[in-house]
Amino acid sequence: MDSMNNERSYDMIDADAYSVDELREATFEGPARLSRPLALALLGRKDYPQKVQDLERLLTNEQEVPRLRAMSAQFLGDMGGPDATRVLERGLDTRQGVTLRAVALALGKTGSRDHISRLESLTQRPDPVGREARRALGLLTDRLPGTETTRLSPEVSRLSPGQDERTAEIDVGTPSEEDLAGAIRGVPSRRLSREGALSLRCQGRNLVFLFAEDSLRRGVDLFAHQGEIGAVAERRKVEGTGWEERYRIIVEPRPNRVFGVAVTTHDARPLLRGEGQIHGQEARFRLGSLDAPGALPVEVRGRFDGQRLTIDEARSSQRRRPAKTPSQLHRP
Amino acid sequence: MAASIRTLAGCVGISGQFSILGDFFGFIRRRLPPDPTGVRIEVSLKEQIARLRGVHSNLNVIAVGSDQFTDADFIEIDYSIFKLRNVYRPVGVGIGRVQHWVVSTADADGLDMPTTTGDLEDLTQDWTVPNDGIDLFVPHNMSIAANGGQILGRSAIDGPCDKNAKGMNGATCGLWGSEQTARTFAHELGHYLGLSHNHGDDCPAGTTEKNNLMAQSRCAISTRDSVLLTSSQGDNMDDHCSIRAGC
Repeated sequence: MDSMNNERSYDMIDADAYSVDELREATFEGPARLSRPLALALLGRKDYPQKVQDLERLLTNEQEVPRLRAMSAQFLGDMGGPDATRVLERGLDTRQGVTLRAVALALGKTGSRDHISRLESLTQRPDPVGREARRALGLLTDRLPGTETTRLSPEVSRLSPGQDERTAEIDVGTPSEEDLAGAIRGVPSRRLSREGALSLRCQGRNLVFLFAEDSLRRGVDLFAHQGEIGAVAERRKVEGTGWEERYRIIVEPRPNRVFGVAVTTHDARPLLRGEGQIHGQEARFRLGSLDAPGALPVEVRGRFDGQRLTIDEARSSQRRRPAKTPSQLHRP
Repeated sequence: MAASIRTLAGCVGISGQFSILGDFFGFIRRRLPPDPTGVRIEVSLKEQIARLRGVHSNLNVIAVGSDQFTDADFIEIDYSIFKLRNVYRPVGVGIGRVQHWVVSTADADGLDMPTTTGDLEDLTQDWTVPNDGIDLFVPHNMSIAANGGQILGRSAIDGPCDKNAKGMNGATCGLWGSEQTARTFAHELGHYLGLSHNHGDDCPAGTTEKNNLMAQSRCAISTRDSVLLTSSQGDNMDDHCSIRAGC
């Protein structure tokens, strides 16, 4: 049978199985029981006093393997705080593309207004650094309300499930206390509200939408302010436990109480787009998938009365649009 | 023998002039990879012919961020292919054609550097090789936290053969050093072919279970040797939609 099984599973290794000293030795001195990337990946999950200095040593060494430098930037972004941010600023001077992309994204997550101009200058680059910098800038400005910067609002066509297409309803409800607590823990970088949360279940996926606390306080006017208004966390499947950030919801206000809405991945790759309008004390909106290779047509229609989000219709297709084909490797 | 190899190569879609190690065995470097312990590596043409005459699955290995891959990275992939055949052979599951595909850093749209399991899922949905092989993606810079550890790879369980179906349409594996990459490579393909872990949140208590390929690596006694499969797991893999009858 061609399965529609939606179970996923993964292989993993515990950081607790190794001491900080063991991991530091393998990372800096290798070769050891663990490869250097694996040792650093586990070291990055540990808390210890010299962590920022260790990551700085890797990130700022132009002779170091780019992958290790990029991982260092990622961990510094996850840590946040002034020390980590200062090291990331130094990382902006690198000439190495993979590292610079990771530094830009980390600053998008943890940086401040001081970093906007540096990121803006990187957006001019025509390579993957420029694209990542544009995303980082979006992440940063969405976190900092009132920030003036260039926003990218490309008009692209949207996909909705066709009339004859097999679709699945997305089951919308109130999340359990356990799911709610797990979902909030899964997005530690933001202050998210327990109020107004929705559970979204479809074909084995278990997601929770959460409003950003400061956005929810604005009531229906949250659609009149540019920025991130909430996030969607997803529960890891099968034997794994815990939740992780999956999507971000961004609002772009327009004239006449009209607004745009975008749903992106956690690192700002766009997925859904739509628009809405505020009528009195109620905002109504409609979202659809962006038309791209591999996209799954999804349609969402809903309204928000300032406190409660109601989804009137949410359905997804059961088939994707054809995906992109990788290039075949031509060996010498 | 030569006619037999050519016939079998045709059966798995290889035509014209071909390299035995490159095209028939699927080693990207067209030579045998070194064993991490220094043991001499050998492959048996006779054994591979026997496997192709039995049930087998084809594989597409997709290097994501391909311009960042070094020779050492390709050695990890080749060693994984070598070990995959050895791990699956005792339960009668063959690996037939192995083709290599690339997604450049510029085309990967950031997914050469996945930091969440969702990124891995997106990767399998954005890219598909239009053939009958299972797509196994190797993003160059995977770094995903989970439950106080590191995710090494991820796959659908009993993955679809319709690659445009909803859900995760491939398996994924990071680069973690030859031995670990090889174990995760075989483990994730085991998932795609229908196998679940042989334990829950807690690791299994028994040595036999800890030595099974489908124990997560955090539970394995040895990265190198904890790669055993039972005959019932082999039967389960045989039932997967990607498994082809023998040539």
